[in-house]
Amino acid sequence: MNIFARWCLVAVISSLGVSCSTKLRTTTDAAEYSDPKFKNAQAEIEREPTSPRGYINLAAFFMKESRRTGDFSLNANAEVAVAKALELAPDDIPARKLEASLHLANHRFTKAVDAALAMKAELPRDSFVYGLLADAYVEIGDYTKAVEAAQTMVDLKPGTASYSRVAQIRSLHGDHQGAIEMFLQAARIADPADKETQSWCLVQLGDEYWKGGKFAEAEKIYDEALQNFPGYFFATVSKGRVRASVGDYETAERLLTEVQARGPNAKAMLMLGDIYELRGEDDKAREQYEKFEAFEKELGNAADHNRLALSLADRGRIDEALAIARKEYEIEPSIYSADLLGWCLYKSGDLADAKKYVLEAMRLNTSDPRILFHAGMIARAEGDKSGGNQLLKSALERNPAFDLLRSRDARSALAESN
Amino acid sequence: MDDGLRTFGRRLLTSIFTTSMLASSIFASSHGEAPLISMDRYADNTDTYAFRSVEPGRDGFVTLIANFIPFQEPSGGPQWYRFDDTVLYEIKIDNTGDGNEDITYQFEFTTRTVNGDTILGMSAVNENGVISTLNDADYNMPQTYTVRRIDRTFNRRGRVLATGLTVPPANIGPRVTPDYEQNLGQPAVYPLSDGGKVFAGQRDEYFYIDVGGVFDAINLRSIGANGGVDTTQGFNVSTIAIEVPIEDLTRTRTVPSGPTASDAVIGVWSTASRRSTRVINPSQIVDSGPWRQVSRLGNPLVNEVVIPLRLKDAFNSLSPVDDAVAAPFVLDPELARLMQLVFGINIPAPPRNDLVSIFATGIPVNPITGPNYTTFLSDGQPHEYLRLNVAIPITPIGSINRLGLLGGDVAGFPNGRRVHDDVTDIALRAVAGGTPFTPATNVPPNNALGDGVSANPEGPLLTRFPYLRPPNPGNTPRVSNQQLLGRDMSKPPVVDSNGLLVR
Repeated sequence: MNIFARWCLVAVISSLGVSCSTKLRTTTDAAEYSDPKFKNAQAEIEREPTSPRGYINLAAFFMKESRRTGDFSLNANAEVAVAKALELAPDDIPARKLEASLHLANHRFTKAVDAALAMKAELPRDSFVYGLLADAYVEIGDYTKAVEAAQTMVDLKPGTASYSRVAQIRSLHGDHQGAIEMFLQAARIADPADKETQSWCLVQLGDEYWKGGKFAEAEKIYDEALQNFPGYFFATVSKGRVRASVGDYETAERLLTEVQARGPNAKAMLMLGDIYELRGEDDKAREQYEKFEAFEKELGNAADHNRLALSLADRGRIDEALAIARKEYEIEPSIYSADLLGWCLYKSGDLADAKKYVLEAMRLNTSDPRILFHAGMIARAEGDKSGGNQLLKSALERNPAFDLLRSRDARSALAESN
Repeated sequence: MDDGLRTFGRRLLTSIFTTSMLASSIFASSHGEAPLISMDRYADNTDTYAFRSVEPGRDGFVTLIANFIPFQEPSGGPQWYRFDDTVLYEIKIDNTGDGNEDITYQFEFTTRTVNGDTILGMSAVNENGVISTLNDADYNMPQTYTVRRIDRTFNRRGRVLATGLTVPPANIGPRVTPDYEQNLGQPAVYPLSDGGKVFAGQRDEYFYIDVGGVFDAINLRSIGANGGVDTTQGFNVSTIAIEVPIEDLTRTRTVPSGPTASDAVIGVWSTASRRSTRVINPSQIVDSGPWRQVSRLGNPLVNEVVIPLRLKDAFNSLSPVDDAVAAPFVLDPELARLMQLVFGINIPAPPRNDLVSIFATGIPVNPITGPNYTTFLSDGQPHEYLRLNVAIPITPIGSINRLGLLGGDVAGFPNGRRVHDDVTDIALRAVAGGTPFTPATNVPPNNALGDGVSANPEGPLLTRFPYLRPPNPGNTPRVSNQQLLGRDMSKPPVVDSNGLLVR
């Protein structure tokens, strides 16, 4: 970036200054934000109401704010602003990039792919476009194309954005060490002025350690993320989880409750429910699970259907869960959709199909203990006790607290067969 | 001005400014998703300079400088800025005009982590101690570097010019780093065996100006540190600088016989590269993938203003040999149209061959600049980089004209770029056609445009290598500069002979 060039533009643009009289009326009673980015976007819209620029910057602000605070609903404001920008300038690339990002955020993965492919035709060397594609293909379960997109992205522009995608895809393919290396690099080179991105990368790194059962290492990294970006919800939830993993339910409960006090968080609700259930506080557990269910359902299409269905299945609501799982698998046949469908089929007694789908879920060699646990339980039910037990053991070896309740189930299943 | 043009101008504004916004603030928004764009500050190339050394007695050398890592808050702790050990920083020279680098100076850094407790390198400086020398034990995370020279035709693997050289610590403040320049800055200027010098370390961002409320109005503040730059200046930057004997840079390996000799002009640009990697089955160790260029800088202005958004990623990864794709944007630059639009001044019509000369081919011998002036270096294709005629004699420090060629000082920009050259004013005028190359528009206000800042308020440049001022200390309040505030923004910014705004 060139400072002179930037300045020359400043000089030119500053001469555009027009008196501001109109007020921003774009978003649904957008609260007043003191952030200069918000104020600047607002001023731009007032100054140049027919330019998409102010609306794009406003959308970008809301999307960043959503990431920073964990308040997903801010994306609705971003959608309004982007729609307005595209109405003014349908071909505008920054607006289209934001629109595609919002497709991803709201789980409109096919639309995201279409939008990204259209931009790819115009911008064959733009790394952003390949990032969109990599993310969308992962969600849809087209891993070959996801790897290809991520490879192009990192070849075009190695950096935090591409390295963190490489890390995620390596993790999916069971390359735990390779994922750690890339998340570490992504965190180290992230813009020091962008605390959210730095700490986001750190939390991912910590989660990678947590998945492998390295709780102390994980917690140290969460602590650094929190020191770097105090109060970060994402780090607080992960720290709560690692506290619960080592049996410190009190601290976990405090941290997860703290997060909830600032805004609804699905992961925190589920984990709190699990902690209460472990303690035998059934009413409090139910309250959290119900809150979680209501929260996800309110999100509509943007809900995390896999998470919702899994929770329903584990609470005995098999038919509902199975219906969601079938639908999810149909539109997004990812390994997680396959795992969910296999698990729901197992719960409903259809072992043959359950096995088929859980094998599909294992096709990338992802070392996710939850999938291993599901596979183990299905194998046992099918009559392969030793194979099943082996899977349960590997799940627990990988992470003895991969899920507070399911790891308990795995242990008791193993105890029974001894 | 017709409506069509107005609309077009708005579209240009949009595309330009949203680029800057995107660079810092757009992310895929589901909270589990990786950021889609994260500003790569450590690999961000901000300025390149190339000039015959003006330090007395050194005019047999050329000084090459490249700046990286913009917007360093002097009070940058606890994460003090340093060069990135995983970035390859390079200064490149084309001395044949084909757009390929014939000579490359590579800088690679290694940080010894004394305090390895954190991933982000926090609490890296022992603030209880005083760092009075480069090898002081209180310098908690010392960084060293290797500088290597590669010659394309006969020395492709490169030759190490020096290794184990120390990067001085950041200028933390008089308590921790007292007498910074004397104790740490100058001792980090190392002699090379060919008689040249080398330096890598933090410096004052000499030309940076933040125009306060103007930034507020146009939303460029977001690109600054912490998402909101104050209406101040005093940022630091990370500089690599090397001084090389003239004959080590020319195509004949000799000092050219005169300014019009065929070996007199060299092209100079700088780059930053990161390693790619295999997504699946990475071969052996991390950081072993091929280098990919992620940032590039030759002439001031071009990358940010001339190159449109949709080619930005591509341009930053391109070598000048492939610059033909960018040529149309030099022939008809957005900034010229913007100036016409917003100032209502008459600007030369495209194709702008005058700008192509300055940025992409060099200026041929012509009656305007006289028979002994040329910066022409091209094989007929456009290659964007600084062009320095190493046979044009230096102008002594006291006589330097900040407007370079436009001020009658042929040793300055666009003959290379000296640290003294006020390229903002020069470039504004050049783009507006306010130069002798376009006589019809070489009239006021076109030939009197300027930003109103003709000297760095923090003080003068050094009179010796590496010329750029020492970094601003962490404990110094930054100086506010609001010269443009309160100005009538509907009129073009015109400056007087001292470079100060005419109000």
